[in-house]
Amino acid sequence: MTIARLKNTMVNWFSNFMLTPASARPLAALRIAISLVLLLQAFLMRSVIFDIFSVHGYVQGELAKSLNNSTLPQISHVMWLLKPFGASETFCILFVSFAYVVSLSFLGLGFNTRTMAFLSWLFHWVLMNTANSTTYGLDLYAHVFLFYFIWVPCGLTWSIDAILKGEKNPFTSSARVGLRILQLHLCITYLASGIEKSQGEQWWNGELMWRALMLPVYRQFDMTWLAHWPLFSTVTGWLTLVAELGYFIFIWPKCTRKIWVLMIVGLHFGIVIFLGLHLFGLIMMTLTACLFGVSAEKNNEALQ
Amino acid sequence: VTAEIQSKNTWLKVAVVAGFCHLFLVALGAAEYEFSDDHWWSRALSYYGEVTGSSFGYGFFAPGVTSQIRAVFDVVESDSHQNTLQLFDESNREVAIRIGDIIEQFMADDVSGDDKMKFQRELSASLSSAVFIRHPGAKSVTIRLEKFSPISMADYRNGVRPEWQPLYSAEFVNHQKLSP
Repeated sequence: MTIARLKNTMVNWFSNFMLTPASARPLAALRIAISLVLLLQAFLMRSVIFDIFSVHGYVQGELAKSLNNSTLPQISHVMWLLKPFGASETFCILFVSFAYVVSLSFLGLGFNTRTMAFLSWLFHWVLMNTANSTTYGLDLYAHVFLFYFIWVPCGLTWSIDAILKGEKNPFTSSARVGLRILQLHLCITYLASGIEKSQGEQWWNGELMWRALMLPVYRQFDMTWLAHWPLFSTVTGWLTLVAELGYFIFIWPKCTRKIWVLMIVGLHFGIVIFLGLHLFGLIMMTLTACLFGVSAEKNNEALQ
Repeated sequence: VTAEIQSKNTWLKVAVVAGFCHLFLVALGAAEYEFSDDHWWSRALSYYGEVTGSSFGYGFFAPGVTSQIRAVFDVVESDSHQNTLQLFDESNREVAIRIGDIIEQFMADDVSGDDKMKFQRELSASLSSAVFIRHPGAKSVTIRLEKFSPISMADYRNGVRPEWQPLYSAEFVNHQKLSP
């Protein structure tokens, strides 16, 4: 009897957690924010696209082939497809880059959202595979979330599609399923990141913050004074571990959600300011702020 | 209407199950589990990981910070004037990070011995070639790779200061300019 009741309670809880109709606003906010960050990235990269993507760029010929996975789509495959039309490598790089920016712009605006999500994901993936040796965290998260946008109803609101359909802010179970999958994915990434960090001694004794801030590639300010305040660096490392390891648990209850959203946004704001990882920090702030900070409920209770 | 609701519910259940299967693969990827090439299904799951990003790891700055490598180029122009330059404008952070990633390949751990030397030679030739494209009249380009290893806070307090240390150097000559 008790087991049956427990099972019933769990099924009800899971059903409410996964299927209670929700607004697509968090997904739409994320769609717009990621599109803007990636458009900004494309703008910043405009002067080096041939250096990065051409076989006559920084990584040339056979070397480029050895660093890339030839089974994944890349610009050389686009060249092969367009070869009958006499397309050059320059044309193919410009074509893929232009198509990526256009599809990303329409994705942000929410016009033919699902199709544009597919095209943005595909062109982003082609560019990523072509310059595999230059990819970093921003590209990985962009690839993951552009793929999700193909499947989740992120164009249900705050989009041209919604305006054309005359829908303002519908509440649907599919939006809830999509939101939960994306939220759980983010929880897994922070947990994995926290566990890996916690295995490094530098994260516990304060050396990590110090060394990262001293590396020329990340150095934005003179932070040498930290050497005389090791406790400050140590506590910052511990707080990062608490924020990442605790994310999986404390981002869910209403009473701790606001604190964790602020901690994570603060952590990535610090990465933007002190390590100069502007776009990576921006996209990470965006993920938590949109998925856990924008309300999907009828009474706007996300951060209350 | 009832049939339509039931059909919708079925699709939602399928979506939930598919979503959790996907998240299971995300968790495996985050734990850095790699599928082998032994079976068709493990190859298929591996490819699925690339398509969806579920195979990605998330160990940024883990387990710790090690060192940085930079490439500096000494270019001898046709009038024998020498310039020292880098590949990119450091003010554009996005470009600097990406090109820094290419240069970091120089110390990649997945090759060793003669293969590593061959790879380093090819990479330095490739980067130097990009400099020749920008300076078509140059007589020679010397690539200097330098390593910066951060020191501990205690060492810094004791007066030690980190410096760029030479790691590798190679000169590439434009033979076209030398021929009569």
